[in-house]
Amino acid sequence: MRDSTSRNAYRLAPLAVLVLGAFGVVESSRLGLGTLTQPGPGLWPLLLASFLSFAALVLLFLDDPRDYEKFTPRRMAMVLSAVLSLIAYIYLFAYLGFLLASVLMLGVWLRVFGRESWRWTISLSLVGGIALYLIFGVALNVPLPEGPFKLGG
Amino acid sequence: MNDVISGFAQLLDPVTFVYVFVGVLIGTLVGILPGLGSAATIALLLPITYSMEPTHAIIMLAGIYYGSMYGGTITSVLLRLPGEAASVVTTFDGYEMTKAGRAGPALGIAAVGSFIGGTLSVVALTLVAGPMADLAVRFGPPEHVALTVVGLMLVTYLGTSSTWKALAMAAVGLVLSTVGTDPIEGTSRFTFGQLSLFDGLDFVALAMGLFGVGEILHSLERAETAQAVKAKIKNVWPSRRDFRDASGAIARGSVLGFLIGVLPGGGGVISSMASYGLEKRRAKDPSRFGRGAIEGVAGPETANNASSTSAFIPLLTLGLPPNVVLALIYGALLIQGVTPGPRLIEDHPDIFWGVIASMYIGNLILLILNVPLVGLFVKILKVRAGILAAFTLLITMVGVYSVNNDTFDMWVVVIFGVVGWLMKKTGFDPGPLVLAFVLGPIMEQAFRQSMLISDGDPTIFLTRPLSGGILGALVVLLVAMTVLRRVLRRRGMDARSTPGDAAERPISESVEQQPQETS
Repeated sequence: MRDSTSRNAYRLAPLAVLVLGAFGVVESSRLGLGTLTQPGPGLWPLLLASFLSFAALVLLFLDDPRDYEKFTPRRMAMVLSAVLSLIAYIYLFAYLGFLLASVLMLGVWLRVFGRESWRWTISLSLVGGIALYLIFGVALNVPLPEGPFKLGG
Repeated sequence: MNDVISGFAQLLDPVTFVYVFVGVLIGTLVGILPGLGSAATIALLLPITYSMEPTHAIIMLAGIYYGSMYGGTITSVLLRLPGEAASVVTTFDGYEMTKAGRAGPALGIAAVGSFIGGTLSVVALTLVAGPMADLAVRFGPPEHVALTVVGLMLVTYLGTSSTWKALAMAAVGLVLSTVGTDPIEGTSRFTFGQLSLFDGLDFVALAMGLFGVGEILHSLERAETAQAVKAKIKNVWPSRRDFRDASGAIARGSVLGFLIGVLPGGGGVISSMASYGLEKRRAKDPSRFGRGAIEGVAGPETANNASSTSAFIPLLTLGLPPNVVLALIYGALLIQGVTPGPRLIEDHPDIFWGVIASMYIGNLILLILNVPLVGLFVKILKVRAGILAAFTLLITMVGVYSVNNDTFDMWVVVIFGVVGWLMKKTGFDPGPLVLAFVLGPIMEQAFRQSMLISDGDPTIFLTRPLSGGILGALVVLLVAMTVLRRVLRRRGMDARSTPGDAAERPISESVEQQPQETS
């Protein structure tokens, strides 16, 4: 594991920041810089993006590798599935409505990630979903999607 | 003076009082819960504040901030688990006191010290805020550029991650703040044809993603260990001897905390570190520190509370949020249509004095909550992390939707959640990013106006006496701090390296080493 590739893997992070900075430089120069007296829309972003690129360049060479945590496949899978569940929630929210999507989402989270018992999972997700509906939908009057079953519309 | 009185008069309104109470109560609770910091909580509650009166919103959010400083103490002392970064140093002596059966006095002196520090700081804030705002009214665009530069530089310099990393993150925040419509010419920038991006990235979505979701994703990786408090908490009210031993530390902590809090980037962490260092240096027998010295609890806890109060001075008078939490409060006010700054005291005296008045009451409520009821609060540690995470995520998603009733913002949260998690993994601090994102538009506007005033001459920032003076002071301060840091490092207690190390360490160690039950 101690070959030079894995030892330098952490440099991917400043590299990503550098790419972002370079992208900003290119994009902002296309916006029109104007002059210092009459700055155009691109001048300020160009200044910032240049500074960002410079900072990223410094980090590429100077950063302390001890700042970085390990990426292990198991943990990555855990985080990835959590992110996917959040994305799923956005779709469910729009198509199933707030109440149903929220109860499902709470259920998944409590059971899979929180390792709660079924009894706790079911009762907490039902109570939680309804409580949040009452807070956001009723008390704060947010127009939440009600979904095909017209639950909590 | 009339305004001060009218500020207090607002507190007679029961509704206002309720918001103070709710704020400090939530603050105490999140302070106790490790992992959920005050920044994440305030980000989470931002959408709810939209439907509130601006005064109520800021009173509640301020209460969460200084309330969390009290709450953070409790787990530091009992479990060596700092609920807030500012309470990390409290674990050094606080936990030792618990092991010696003195958990009660440790918590008591921390609460009393916090109360004294917080209250003295509000008194000073009351006196200083008016004159400061008078001075700030004379500031023009070049001064605003200078001040925002000072703010960002100090935050990155004093932050817990490496200076270059923090600078890079501040730059990312500034770049992200330019997304949307150019404020002067109306050209759209970095929108890539996305209609939802024309108004720019939503501040709430950004903050909730980076702090809320990012934090939770990161916590998923750690094995969850339930913590049980076994120590008996008794004699919470410290004895006369405890008071005598701690009084000097409390007095010095108040002054130190107040002064550091005013500095951009000051906030809680630095002030508690500095106070601990000061007490240890002053002590006749420094070896007592780390073995349960009451001054080591009293000083830092006083200082972090004093600083969380005085941090409101730059926000309320200059419109300059000195740290991330205040950047979030700043954002909350902007959304309400209130721009904090020198004119706040004249345009919205109700908000200005209302917040200040609420802090007197808030600190008193916190003292009452913390001394007799500390045993009750400890019970919430039994709430399992999984349940907390599930609800936090859901509230984040619904909350961000409610801002614009647009699922696009939910995507922004998820994306910045992933970014926030990656930043945690790679040691980049989201704090400077969010602060810069808030300051970005102010900075750009001021910069472009300065260029117009000076006819394109960038030396205007140095030649104007006020802005030149501000930037000069920054240089002096940075040099002084570099020297100071060298000295501290030589003595083996770098204020910057300690928080990270110490925050990581206790979590793993305290699992094996549960607090002993002592009677």
